[in-house]
Amino acid sequence: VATKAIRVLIVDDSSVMRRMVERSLREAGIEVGETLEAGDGWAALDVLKRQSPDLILCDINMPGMNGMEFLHILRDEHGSKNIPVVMVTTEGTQLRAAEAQAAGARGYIRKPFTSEQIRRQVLPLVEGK
Amino acid sequence: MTTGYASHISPPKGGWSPLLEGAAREVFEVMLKSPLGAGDASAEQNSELIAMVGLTGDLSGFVSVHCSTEAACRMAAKMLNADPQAYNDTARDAVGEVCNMVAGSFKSKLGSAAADCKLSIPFIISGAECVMETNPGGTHVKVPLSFDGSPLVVALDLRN
Repeated sequence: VATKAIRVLIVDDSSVMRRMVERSLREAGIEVGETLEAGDGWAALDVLKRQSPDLILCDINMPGMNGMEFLHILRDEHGSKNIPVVMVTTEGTQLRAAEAQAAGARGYIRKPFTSEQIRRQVLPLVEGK
Repeated sequence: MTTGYASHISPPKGGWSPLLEGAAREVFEVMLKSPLGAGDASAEQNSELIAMVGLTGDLSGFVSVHCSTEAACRMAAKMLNADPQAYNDTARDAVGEVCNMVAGSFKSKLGSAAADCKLSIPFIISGAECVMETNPGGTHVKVPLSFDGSPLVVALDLRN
């Protein structure tokens, strides 16, 4: 389990889903100290100008800037490029997962998801933070 | 990637219904911890909310979820582990996200055959007794189900 409470940025156009993801993190035994939220990639980049989360959980299909566009900008141009990003999406095909991984995602969780799936993918990324 | 507006995937053996129903059951069991029951085919006539997610590419059409506002409030409450009375404002968001996950799960069940199928973001129609006219000559699959005692319909409409 993480040694201290983490700060997480959850990017999803659904406020219900943002809260579900946060709850699943807690149910997975991950101590969440602060939750930052954004409704699309643009809003997420705006948050990152002011805050530095330990982890980003990001949807793909969003209005405005989608999750893949956000991931590319984060990895190619942004000062926050070392923050681990896990995609949380309904796009469950292996092709999409491979594309996300190639773009720098450190994990890929398909909706619907269990707390166990969250734990398995997220815990290794936040241990020791 | 296919072009045009027709669907290019043949229905699986057994038809579309089992896949669609399986997708809906998976979403409600995993995310809402609330298994769906069998439903009544007339339920769509009484829907107040319709959530839709468009399909493009190998499949052209949309997946939709039809329910009452009260059922949508209970979905939001289950998703947030909270009191249904407090969640009227998030009901539309909740049913949209449920539809989004049903469409995604349905697509996943088609495997590599649907690799070029893309999903839109969900959109919601609300009003008293919403009824959706289907595309003549297209494929229309309707799966009546029951959520927490309330009627709920999951549907698939494809252009042939």
